[in-house]
Amino acid sequence: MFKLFRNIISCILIVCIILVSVFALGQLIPNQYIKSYTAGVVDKYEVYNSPDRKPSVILVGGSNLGFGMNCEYLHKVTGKDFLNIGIHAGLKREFELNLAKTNVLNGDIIVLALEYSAYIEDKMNEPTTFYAVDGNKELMKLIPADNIFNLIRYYPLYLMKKVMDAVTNPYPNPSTEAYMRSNFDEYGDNKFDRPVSLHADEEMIPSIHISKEYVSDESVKSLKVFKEYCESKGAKVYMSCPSVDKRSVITSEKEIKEFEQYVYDQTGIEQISSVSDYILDSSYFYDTYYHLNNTGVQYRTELFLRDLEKVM
Amino acid sequence: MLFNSLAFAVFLPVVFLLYWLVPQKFKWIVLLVSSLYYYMSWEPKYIIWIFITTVVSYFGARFIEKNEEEKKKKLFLSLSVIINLGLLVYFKYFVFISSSIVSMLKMFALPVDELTLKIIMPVGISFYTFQSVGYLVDVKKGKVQAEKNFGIFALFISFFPQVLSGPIARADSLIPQIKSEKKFDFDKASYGVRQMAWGFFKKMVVSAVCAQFVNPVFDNLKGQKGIVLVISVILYAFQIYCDFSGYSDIAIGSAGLFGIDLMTNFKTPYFAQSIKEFWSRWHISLSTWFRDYVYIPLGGNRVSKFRHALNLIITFLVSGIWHGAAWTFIIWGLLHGILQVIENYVYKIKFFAPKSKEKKIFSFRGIVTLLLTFTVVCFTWIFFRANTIGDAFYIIKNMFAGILSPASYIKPGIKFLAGDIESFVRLGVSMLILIIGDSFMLKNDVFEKLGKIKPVVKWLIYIVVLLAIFVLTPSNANNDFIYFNF
Repeated sequence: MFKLFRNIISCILIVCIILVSVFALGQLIPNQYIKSYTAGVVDKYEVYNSPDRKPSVILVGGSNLGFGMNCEYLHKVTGKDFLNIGIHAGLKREFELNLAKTNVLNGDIIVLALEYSAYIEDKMNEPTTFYAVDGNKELMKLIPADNIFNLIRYYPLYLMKKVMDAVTNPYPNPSTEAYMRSNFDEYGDNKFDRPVSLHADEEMIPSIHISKEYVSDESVKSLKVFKEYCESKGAKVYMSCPSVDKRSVITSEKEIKEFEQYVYDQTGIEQISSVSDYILDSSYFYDTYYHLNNTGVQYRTELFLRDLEKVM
Repeated sequence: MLFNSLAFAVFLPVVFLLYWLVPQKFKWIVLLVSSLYYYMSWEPKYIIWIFITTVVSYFGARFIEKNEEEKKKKLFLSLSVIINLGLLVYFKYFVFISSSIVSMLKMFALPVDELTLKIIMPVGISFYTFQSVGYLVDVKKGKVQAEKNFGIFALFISFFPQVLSGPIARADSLIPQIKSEKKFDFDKASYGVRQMAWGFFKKMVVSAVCAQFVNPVFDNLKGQKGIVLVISVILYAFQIYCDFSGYSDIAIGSAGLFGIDLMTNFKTPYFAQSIKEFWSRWHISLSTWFRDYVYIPLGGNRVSKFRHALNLIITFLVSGIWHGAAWTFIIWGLLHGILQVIENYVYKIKFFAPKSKEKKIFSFRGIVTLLLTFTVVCFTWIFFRANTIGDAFYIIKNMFAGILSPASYIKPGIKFLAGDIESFVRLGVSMLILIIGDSFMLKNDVFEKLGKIKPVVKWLIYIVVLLAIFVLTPSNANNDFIYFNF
């Protein structure tokens, strides 16, 4: 009987060894996706962890920040240092928070603007994750433990794609120019010219739930732990909001208010922004319901400044 | 507790160890307690309904056997069957029947209050009800003795590997096995593990990968046309086959770990060369149940041609109804009945007439009849999968739109399959492994033969299958089994 267990466990162990070996060998081939904006997370990491960095206002969240804030303007108006470490939302909440925890300074003001899906679940998008962390041990350490198994399972498929690209089209450009890594400035903002809205006329299927029913226990626990950690380092933590296309929002005003109260009650993180203020007309958005065009960026930045000044 | 869950991965080894460590007289108790725990892990209050079925069937069978008078035997049989089927009808069909009546009344502009009712069907009720009805009929016929031990009978009804979605077991097969002396057999247990691994591969990889293509099309038909619909239907054929046969393999393999043989439920059905043969290879435990408890009592084929045709249609109509409370399933069942009637006439044509029991699949005739059968089966799957009858007819109407321009007809299909290289690789590799595996299974008991080949080759196959499960399973796969809905 125990021979059966031994055989099954041996089989599973051999498969695990093969997968780990494939992963190790795969590191010999450089990351082919370094031109993509996702790979730009290493730039934000390096600036954030620079030994010269002074206490700043740190913006933490997904690409609603990368494609939705003008930190240069904020710096000019307030005289404070700003750093936008908003990254691809496919990397998910825990990675975003872990990135923020790598170098919290005494005097930092950390403002969270998480996409609403971050409150629901935390399963990392596998290809996006590898585009970001492949070849970078420091970034790999930021991957939350509960995602590692899925990422290891996925790696052979990613490796196949990486090898194919390395042979046929090394270091390919992203399909859309706006998503080039080189479009991000020293503040972490995307500076690609986005004068128009590409999807204002498109039919949009509402899918964003802003409701306490869609706030998981894990997310509030994680945010609470994050707040305590940052405060132990002498930083302050506040909650703002992502700007979101009003056509994509399903929930009522009442549910939104309940959501805000619930998140505050559960996490203790002071909210400086009202969710409703950031539900914007589609004319402000570029190509998704979180990414702003030039007009939208300026509008949202000024809205954010108004909110931030309450606590600065 | 799904088979493909961490909870089951802990549950099964624990039960397995306990089972083989306890003395023989307690083994059935271990299985009964674990089966009840397994069943209650879905929803504890469901236990009430399976308990009622168990009590009704237990006492029904005892009374049937005890009474000498044929009239009283029939009475107890009828009573027990009516109660069991009544529960099934209530949970499964009440809302459908009432809403259908409401729709019909509305068609005639008659005033009617709609009944807003939500009835949640206990898991496995379709399967364990049929299992208990089969038992009652077998006792009445004298084919099997009424089980006196209530606990063993309860285990027969609730045996965890098969309680939720079969295979539907016969009392004369399962009950003696529950009672018989067991000694741990390494080869039998290894066979079970191999079968489970193959089942997990089919469910977690092939079915899940096919679902990624199929579901977005069937659930949002607006604008879908041409070859994309055709490909989706074909992929659904593999999705449902792998989902259900995968479940069956896991169930049968799990039972094998306890030294219990459950009946084979699938025998490479898409290699069938006729609809009749398809049903001797697909969901065998259900099709034989309908044969023995519906078709044969109606007279089978020992009646006039017209009555035979009617018996076939009625049997498959009931099968369609069993699958679900929706007109799509009824049409699906009806189609299969009608197709079998047509087939009996088609067999009169020399080319299609079955020549011998041993049909060569890879002859010209074999390939033609195989492809024809597969095409017809796929056509019927349209109704099985479509969300509404309207959707089914939409698919039929639009699936060949643009076929007169072959190049522009085929191009969207290539984009659909190969647009995302990762999904294409998952699909290609998983289908290749499936086809190779099923081809070997046509004439061989692969799980047994694997135990006898060279260890290096055997372990290589194990590792390939396990790697395929690890790597190819989509991370956002829906873990539910399709037949849990029935």
